[in-house]
Amino acid sequence: MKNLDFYHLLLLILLVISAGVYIFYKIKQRMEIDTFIKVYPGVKTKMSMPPKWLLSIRYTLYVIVTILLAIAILNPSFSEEAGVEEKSVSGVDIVFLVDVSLSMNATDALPNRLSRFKETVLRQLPALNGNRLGIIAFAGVPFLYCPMTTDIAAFSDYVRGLDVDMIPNTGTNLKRAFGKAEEIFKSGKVLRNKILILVTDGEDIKGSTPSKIEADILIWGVGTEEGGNIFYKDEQSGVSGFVTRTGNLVSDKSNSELIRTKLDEEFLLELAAIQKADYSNISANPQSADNLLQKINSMNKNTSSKLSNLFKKDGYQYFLYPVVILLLLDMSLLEFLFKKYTVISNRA
Amino acid sequence: MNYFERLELLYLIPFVLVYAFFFWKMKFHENKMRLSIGSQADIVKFPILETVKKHFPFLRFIIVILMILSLAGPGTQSSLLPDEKNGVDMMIAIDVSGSMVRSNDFLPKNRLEVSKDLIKNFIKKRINDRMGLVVFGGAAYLQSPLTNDIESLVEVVSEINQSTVDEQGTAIGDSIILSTYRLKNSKARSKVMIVITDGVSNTGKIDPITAADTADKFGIKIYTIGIGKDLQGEFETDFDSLQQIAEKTDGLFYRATDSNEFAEVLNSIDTLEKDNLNVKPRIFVEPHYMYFLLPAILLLVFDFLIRSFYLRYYI
Repeated sequence: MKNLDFYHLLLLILLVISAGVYIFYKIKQRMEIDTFIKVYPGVKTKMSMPPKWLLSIRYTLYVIVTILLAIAILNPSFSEEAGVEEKSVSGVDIVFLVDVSLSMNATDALPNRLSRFKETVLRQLPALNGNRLGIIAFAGVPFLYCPMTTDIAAFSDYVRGLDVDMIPNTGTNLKRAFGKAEEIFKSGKVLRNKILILVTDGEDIKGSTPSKIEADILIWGVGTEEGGNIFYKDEQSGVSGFVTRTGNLVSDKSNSELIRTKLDEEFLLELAAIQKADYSNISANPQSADNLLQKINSMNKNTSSKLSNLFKKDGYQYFLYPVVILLLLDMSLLEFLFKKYTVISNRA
Repeated sequence: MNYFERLELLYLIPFVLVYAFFFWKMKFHENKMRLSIGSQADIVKFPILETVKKHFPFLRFIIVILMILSLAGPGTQSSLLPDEKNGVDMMIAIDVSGSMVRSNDFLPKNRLEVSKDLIKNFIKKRINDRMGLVVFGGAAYLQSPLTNDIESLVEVVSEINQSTVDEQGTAIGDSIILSTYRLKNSKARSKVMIVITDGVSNTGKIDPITAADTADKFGIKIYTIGIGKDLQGEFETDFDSLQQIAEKTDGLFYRATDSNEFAEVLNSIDTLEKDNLNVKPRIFVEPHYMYFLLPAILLLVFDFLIRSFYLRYYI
């Protein structure tokens, strides 16, 4: 037996009761009519009634159908597929969806928002060994930055290499980013537990809210609601400073033209509610990023029981075949007989 | 849901529908107990409800069709990741230096584009293995670590172009060392590197032969492919050193002067590195038959109860 949980049992009970009720009331109804006819024999000539033998056939058939269906719900398994090493299925696919828009360079989380995220991940990496990790960087467009890999050392190099000017299209298009993540999760149709971690400051979100995807989502917010200025260093010219509204770089922090970017926590909480995700602010509370490890642990626990079910072959069909045949028989042959024999008896 | 275990059963559904029409023609749905006493209530308050009541027996057809759908064995097909120890771990290092783009011996496309297409085909064939990608010019960069995600790797290959590496030159040694780093911790049965170049190693922090020595220490086999025609030394390729690298590491050296030859070379590497065990990634189906069986049974329960308590004239 597999999949036998509370709801299956409930369905089974419901089915048996309703079939019992049906047969009981139908017989009771017939008996009442018979009593009525005894008292008023004249009515008989005005009634069309199916013969009792035909009714008995139908009720018997329904009893058999009900029993077969009940067994089909229980889904007995007659053979098991050869066992597979559990190792090849343990572990989780984790995709980091990292916002690399310019605002991630804001200095309200020191040294800046993106670096804060990098520190958080690098700190956790040793514990993530054995899982597949990947990174999608996104701003205006998403970009597959690191394909899913179990090579933690290579992955850490990728994390260190994250930078805000990786993607020329500015802005933050969340919908496309989620679409890209789903593509990665679905590629290869691999049977794995999936976690998506969105790392963003929630600012300047373009496009509508993303659709639901088949993964557990964690949202890691970085930054503060008070906000901060954006520090930028041009690698080629070596010029650095805080970004102003006009696009210049100035070193004076008190300049009134400076862009001040804020963590949009309200939006992220709203998004978390829609996506049934866990939100945590990893710059205010770095320990909250540990929710990733907890999630992985609880997922790995569930995997083995889910798999043992998958390795068993279904047996429901052997019981459902006769059900369909019997029902079709009932709908054809029996209905034909009912039509033929349900006539007004003893025509005057 | 992307799979039906017994797809052929779905062909039954049209027959059931045809029979439903026959059922209606034969007026089987009018099979019920009747009491014909002169005046019957003719006032119909809710015509829609009357129609529904009149055609109630057709509910059984919906039930049967749902049961057939359930019988067809719907499910979601997925696979397990192949075991890392069984497959082959392979790094592909490809030269993206200027000559790969400027040369015209692989027309209509340039060497780089031809290489990309052939590599993509090669990758797609190796579903059981983990592969990674290194690009090099004057310096070597990791483009993808070892991954099972073939579709993503194909995408990464598509994105390579000459500007992926800014530094001028051909640093074959660096590319071998970088690939070696990514392979050295691998637990795979076989560790393989493919180096594709059309030039002479002329820059980089380490010379190719020394790099090949290191790779050999880690048990990595290197296949080298020198591509392009020798056009009077215009874009000369140092075949001797490529040959040496391959020999040092028990690999093979190939020359590919046109795209057909190149394709053959990759095919032969594919054959050489074939998995003898040939373990396919295991396919699993997560059954979803309850999605149809559940409503079918609920409708049957509904049918039973309606016949018992509401439309009692139905048999």
